[in-house]
Amino acid sequence: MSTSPKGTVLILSTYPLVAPKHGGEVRLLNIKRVYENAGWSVVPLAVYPEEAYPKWNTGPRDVGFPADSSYRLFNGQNLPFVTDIASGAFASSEDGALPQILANIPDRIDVIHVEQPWLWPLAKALRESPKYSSSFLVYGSQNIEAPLKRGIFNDWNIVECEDAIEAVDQLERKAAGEADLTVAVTQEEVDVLTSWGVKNVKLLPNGIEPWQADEDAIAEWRQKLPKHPWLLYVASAHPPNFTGFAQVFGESLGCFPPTSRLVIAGSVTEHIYQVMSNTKWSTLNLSRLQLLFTLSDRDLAAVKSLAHGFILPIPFGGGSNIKTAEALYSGAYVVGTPSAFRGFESFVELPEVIVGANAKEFQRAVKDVLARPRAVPLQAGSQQSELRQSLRWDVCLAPLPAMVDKLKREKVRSE
Amino acid sequence: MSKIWFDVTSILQWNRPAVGVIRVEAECAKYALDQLGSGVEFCRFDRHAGYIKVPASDVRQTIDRIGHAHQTPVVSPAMDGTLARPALPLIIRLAIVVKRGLSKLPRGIGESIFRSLSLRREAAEAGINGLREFRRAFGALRRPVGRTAPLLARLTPDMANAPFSKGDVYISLGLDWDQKNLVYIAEQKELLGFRAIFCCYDVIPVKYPHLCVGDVAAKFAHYFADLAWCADEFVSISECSKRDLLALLNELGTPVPETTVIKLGSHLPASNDSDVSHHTKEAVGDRFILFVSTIERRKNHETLYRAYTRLVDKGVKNLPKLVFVGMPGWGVNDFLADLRFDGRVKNRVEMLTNVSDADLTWLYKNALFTVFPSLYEGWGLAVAESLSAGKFCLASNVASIPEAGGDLVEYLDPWDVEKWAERLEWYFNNPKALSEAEKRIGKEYNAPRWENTAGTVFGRAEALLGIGTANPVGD
Repeated sequence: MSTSPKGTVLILSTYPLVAPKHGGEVRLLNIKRVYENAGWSVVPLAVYPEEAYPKWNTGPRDVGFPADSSYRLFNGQNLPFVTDIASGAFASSEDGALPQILANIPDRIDVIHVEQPWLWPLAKALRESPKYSSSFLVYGSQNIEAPLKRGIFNDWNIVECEDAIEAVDQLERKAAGEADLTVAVTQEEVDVLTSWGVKNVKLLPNGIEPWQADEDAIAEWRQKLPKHPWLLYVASAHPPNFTGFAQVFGESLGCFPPTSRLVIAGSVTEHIYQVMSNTKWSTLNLSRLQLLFTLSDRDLAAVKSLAHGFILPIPFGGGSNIKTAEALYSGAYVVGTPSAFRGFESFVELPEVIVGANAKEFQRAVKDVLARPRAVPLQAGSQQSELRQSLRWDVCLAPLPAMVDKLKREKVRSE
Repeated sequence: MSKIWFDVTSILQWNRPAVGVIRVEAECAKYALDQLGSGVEFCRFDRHAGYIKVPASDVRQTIDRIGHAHQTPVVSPAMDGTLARPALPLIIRLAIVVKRGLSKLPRGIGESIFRSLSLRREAAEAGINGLREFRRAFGALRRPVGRTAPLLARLTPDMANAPFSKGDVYISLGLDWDQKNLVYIAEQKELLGFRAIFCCYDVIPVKYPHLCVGDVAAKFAHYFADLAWCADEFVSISECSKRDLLALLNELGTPVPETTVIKLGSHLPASNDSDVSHHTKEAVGDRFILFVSTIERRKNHETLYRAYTRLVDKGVKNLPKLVFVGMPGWGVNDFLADLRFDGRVKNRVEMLTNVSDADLTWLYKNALFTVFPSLYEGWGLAVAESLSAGKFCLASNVASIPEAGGDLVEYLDPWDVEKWAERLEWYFNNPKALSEAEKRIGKEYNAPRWENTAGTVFGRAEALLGIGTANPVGD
């Protein structure tokens, strides 16, 4: 299998990379690309919840984690939001997915890149096999997961969760501590990992894929979207993207004029509809929403190109949001919470960026932005334009292959 | 040259005795015709065609028609903006229809059938509620809440542009929550560059939705939010309403336009004793206290009823009649049943509906004093009218009511039945105190006049135009 002069990277994740949608998937796809562009052969392998992805959206080596598997239970309990934690044990067990995985991966693997801590037990199990004992372990930490998990449990009023949170904490500390290289998304995350005593932590922020909208699509969407300035929120159904949404706006979208709309795109849409339907001012709030649900890349590019501005109503959550990078790259106005700009602190001073630290400030910022003329595109080559180019995935992740090369060189020297 | 446009949609569509909001629009239109002449244009809003200019002669005819309506409002209750007067409950309307039908039968048979049906009133009410629920279920089935539901307020495509020009000022004081399309107004404002003044009577449907019909809080919050985006200025009918409005807009995150308080006219029309109906005089007797208001939960007739029954239980003799002037509204079926069946108040409580202006003035003038235990108000017109008639009022101490009564009225907690019973009895036994209070009212109270109300409204419009002659009549 390994025809590449540099060797083979096995990427382990809990989601397939065939049709990436949410931020974590997109990040991992781009990690795959930078490895490939640097001359590595890349083998992605996902152990995914089988009910979450249709078969046609999975890769040839990907393994479904059956919904009725006994591994789905956490300490014998049927607890929600723990499929990711459980997938590690399933993937690394002889009576789970390990035999199938071993039968499907190449004989030589130089690097095992584990994105998020969930499949770390699998990586360890593989490295125990003599064939793979000399491979490097790279841990891609997308978040400090334990507090994030606690936030999700709290939002859903799940009380019997302390053991699960403890397990997550132990797992990510183990992954970071045992990896040959740990890469993080934000400086905040680097600081936490370093405080755990992790030595080799590198910062590789999230980036974006530049988009070019099709003129026909723009014309079609111009007809469907408000004639007056409107703002856009694009996000996945990841709970932090919607559980605090209403609170960020003080439960009211009255800051949008009746002629404007907050346009919602992505799989977060139905959740935003539910959240805002349950607010005190539901009639007002629903009148200000235009719901687009999940769009094709062509349509999304057109909608993003037409937006007067973007909102980033992220009250908590680790990692750094790709939607923040996209919003900043767009050159349109961006209104966001302080958490939304984690990892992008250097962009906060841009004239089209406004941070709303509380509901009142957020509402005021929305009114302010909607009253402004459309933001003028930056001149190519300007300092601010250059700053934006640094948001591209290829720029953000460019150092990764060199880091792995360095590990390899160091290992050769030590031998 | 820029103009003022006054919206007369509500009075043009009104075909019943004037209620508070209608009175405000009619009085301001009258002022515009009499005092401002050609400086003001009139318009109305049509849901399909947009704004249409209305000739001054049509406005004059409409004001005359409303002014000469045979029966006047059940006076005011409600500047409160719960806005359109609640219609009679369906069960009562049904009873009226049935009674009308049965009147064609021989009297004995008709009455016997009606009595029999009355005993089955609960079945009829349950049936009505069942039908309403069925209608709601059917409606929800036909219009599922789905992707398109939030895309509200689409405009009718053939709506023309408004006849307003850049710099014009548009005033609307009417039943906007029912009659206007605020998305259209916002678009037209942006397109044409005119400015707008709207009125906030109160935000009770948002603040105390349980005191209104149905679940109205979310709907009215939507209305006020849209209105705030359309308004360059608001007028409101009390400091309390202004405070409530600004707090609401602040919470909703909308713009918060400048807001001016207007005092509503409350002088009573002069009346001739010979115009007063014999029936009214006979019903109330020689000694009575008066509560002018629609009969609905918010007005809190309940406290007076309970206070009266306590006095009866206590053995107080020679109680004056408690006279309610106003139509029964919503949510008072049990209360009306109590009045009907509680022997303690038999012949002690009288309900009058559809009284004429002359009757109302006579009632105010001849009452021992008036009472107003309302739970919340945007203003409190009945208190102001009581003072205009020179009558002392025992009133609730909440919301805007103290603004209406100043220090000429005694205020009580509307829920403190014991206190109401105590103060009622005290005033029944102290005619001298009442007489002194009336003397002080006669000396100190200046009834606000509608000309002043309208003068303030048009003064704000002129200030927006840049004319700057904002000087209400009499100020």
